[in-house]
Amino acid sequence: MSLQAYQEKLAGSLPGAGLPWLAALRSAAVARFEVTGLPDRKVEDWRYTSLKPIQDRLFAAGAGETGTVPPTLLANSHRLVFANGVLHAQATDLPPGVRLQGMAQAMTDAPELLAGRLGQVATGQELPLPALNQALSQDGYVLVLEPGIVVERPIEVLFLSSQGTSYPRNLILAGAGAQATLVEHYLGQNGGADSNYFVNAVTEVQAAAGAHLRRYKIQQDAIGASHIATLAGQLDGDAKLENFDLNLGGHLVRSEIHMALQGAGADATLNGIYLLRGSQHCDNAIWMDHVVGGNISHQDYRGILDDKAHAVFQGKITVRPNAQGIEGHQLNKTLLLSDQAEIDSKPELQILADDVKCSHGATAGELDETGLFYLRSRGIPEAEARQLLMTAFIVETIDKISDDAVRGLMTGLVAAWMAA
Amino acid sequence: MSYTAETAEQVSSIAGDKYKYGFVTDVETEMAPMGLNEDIIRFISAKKNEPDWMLQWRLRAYERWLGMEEPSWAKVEYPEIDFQDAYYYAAPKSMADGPQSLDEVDPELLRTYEKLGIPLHEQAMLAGVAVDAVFDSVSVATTFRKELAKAGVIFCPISEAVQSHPELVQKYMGSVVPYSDNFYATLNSAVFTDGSFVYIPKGVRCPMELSTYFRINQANTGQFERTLIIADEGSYVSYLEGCTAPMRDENQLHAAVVELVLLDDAEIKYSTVQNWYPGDADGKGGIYNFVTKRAACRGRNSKVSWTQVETGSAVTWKYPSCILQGDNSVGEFYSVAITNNMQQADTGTKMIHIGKNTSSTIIAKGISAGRSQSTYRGLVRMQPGAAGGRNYTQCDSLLIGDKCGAHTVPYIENRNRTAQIEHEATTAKISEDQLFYCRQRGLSDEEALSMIVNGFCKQVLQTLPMEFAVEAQKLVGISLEGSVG
Repeated sequence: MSLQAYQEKLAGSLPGAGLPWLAALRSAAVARFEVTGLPDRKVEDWRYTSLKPIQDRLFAAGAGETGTVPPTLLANSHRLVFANGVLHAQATDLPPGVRLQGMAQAMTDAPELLAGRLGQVATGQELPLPALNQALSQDGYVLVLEPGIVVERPIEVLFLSSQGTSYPRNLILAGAGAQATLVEHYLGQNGGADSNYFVNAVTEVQAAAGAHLRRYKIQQDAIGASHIATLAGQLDGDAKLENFDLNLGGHLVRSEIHMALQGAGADATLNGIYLLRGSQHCDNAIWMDHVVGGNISHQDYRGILDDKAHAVFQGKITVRPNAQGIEGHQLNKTLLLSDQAEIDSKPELQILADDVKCSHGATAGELDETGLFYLRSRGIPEAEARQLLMTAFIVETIDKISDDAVRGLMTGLVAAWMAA
Repeated sequence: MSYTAETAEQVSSIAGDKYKYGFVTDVETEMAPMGLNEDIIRFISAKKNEPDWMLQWRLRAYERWLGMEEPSWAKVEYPEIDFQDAYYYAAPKSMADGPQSLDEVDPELLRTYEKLGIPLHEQAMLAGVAVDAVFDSVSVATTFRKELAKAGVIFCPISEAVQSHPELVQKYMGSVVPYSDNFYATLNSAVFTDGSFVYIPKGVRCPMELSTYFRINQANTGQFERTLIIADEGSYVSYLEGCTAPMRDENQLHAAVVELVLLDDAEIKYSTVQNWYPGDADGKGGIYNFVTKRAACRGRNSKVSWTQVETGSAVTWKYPSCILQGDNSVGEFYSVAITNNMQQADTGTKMIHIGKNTSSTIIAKGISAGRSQSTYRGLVRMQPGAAGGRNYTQCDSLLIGDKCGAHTVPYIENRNRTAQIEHEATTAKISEDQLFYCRQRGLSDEEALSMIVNGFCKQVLQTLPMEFAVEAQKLVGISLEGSVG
């Protein structure tokens, strides 16, 4: 079935069906996807990742089954829960000046907040998967922070999945000087490999001047599932985003970030960890765009690959003409534990201004033998020594998480992976 | 005035007329009819008096080429090339009778090489360098052949090797860069006219440096040379390559193929100083330099080292690569790419690690000035069998002025746990601190800049053979004239 036919069949049942601007956005997305289709590996940005596993699974909406909902990850958080892409539980106790609700609900409650904002960041580019999401999304979360609001308690959004295909569409609008910490958690309800659902999520972020956002994403989808996520953000002057991407689950995972620093003093930190085994495939692809001068970006992505796992890192830092006084750094390190694991790394710089300090570094290889020898010579058994070295390798990035509770949470998740 | 503004101004004031190799030699030339078709290929083959297998190879390449598309992935922009609007064969008429010695060569041609600083009379030459001089589509002269022959080294134009050593040519030509390899290499396979052939026999250390000097002279021609170097077991050779062309408003195409074959314990050091006409300050004219260079380290413990200083050409598309097949083989790539005015360079290397304990080093320095664009594009791949493989890559870019661009596109692929890859890259302008330090010690702005840029390139320039290092240092100066030494 073509996307157009499927979308037309679905259109009446999609939320906000009566909103003309939304209908226009959806049909533009359909038209765009009809042109590009799913990208194949001949497309440079998809050189190392094949979308074959999902090509027949684009049009199978999952039913909103619930099952048991696990407790919150963080104490005292405001939490929103989605089951197979549809809102399941609302957040409670929200402080004034904060809107956190389902996208479908927001389209009824406050369409004026969304008009002209939804789709603004992720749609400008020729991205086929966000287009697919735009055309078919049923729900997702909306977080709107009024200017100057500081949300004390962490916000958690849980996406539970067990079957079918879901297209979560999320939007974060942070007013000037607003601050919040958010954990976006993707979790497979049935951990088994037989669960081969497909999640294609899009999160858009618009941070006004001086806003400060911390977004931590934990991806623990079922081992047989496909997970594609796009984060598209715009930061105004002095706005700050700390983003962290932990990838543990999924059979086919692609995590894209498109970040535009549009004001002087903007600061984006995009870090991530990928821990893979079996035949997992995880592709982190980042486009960092320094649009104007005087802003800063940092990237630090690390991973450990065992068995036949395959990881990809593609990061591109662009400094536009006349964007002077830029600092952009990028680091990708991968440990290979098995002879069949593979890492493909493509850290790219595109610099069109001269007053810049840009760097990238990449390493790939096995555990340092001399380090291992040192530890063993001090009486530490080999298995333990290996684990110590792996932990040390990962912790360097985990330590950059500024939220204490989240750092603790991530450390625990990494330790659990290593012990498994 | 801050150094940046001043430098930018000086750099932008450099017009193409500073290119001192831009003269044209007036010789009577024999050309093939304009355009490209099977008859032209038969014409070239007949001119070279080639055996049938060579012609058939060319025709197969041509047929393949017709179905190929010009690659568009490089970060270079140029108007579409009309491949029918060029001459594929141009040779000085005086070469038609095949002069037997240097005394019979047209003195005008000899004067040309003298003017280029490459005297072909052996007594006038730098001792220890044998030269093959290629002028448009033919080799004009090859020096020191007798001395080389004493050592068993074969150094001759490739068109001659096809006649005199067909077994070697047939065995190795196309074995590293197949005729179907890529758009420009396939075009070259169909229409190549001359180039150098080198064979170093077992255990021989080539007694002198070998060098080929390429000169494009005629208008509306392309140069399609093909070089094949075979280093047999335990041999060593150092090979130098230089190139220049007249200043013209039209763009000219240069699409060369270089193949290196290394057997057990062999070593080749291949150095290039590429100084094709870069076009004028507005980007008018200049050479399109689309070159395929590849070395196959087939033997154990073989070693290949590419050094390139890229200062010329309007557009450069060039990735000298190493296939590290033999266990313990070593590949090295040292590059300085300087772009100024409207020049564009997309250059880098590929290191394909196949054998065990293979190692590679990549040091690439890009310097962009004016409105130029410089890109490093490279691939390091550890195949599953490359146990103990090792790569170290460093690519640094220096920006002079705020209208130019510097880009880095590395591909790093590791499929072996025990292989280690390290990659580092930086992009920056010359730091005020460095400049201040130099000036505070009494150096002028220019001297300071010169010193810093030379220091930036030193790691690469010091790998060049003596004779070229001197020329290269001068070139660095000329290319950034006004801002550097």
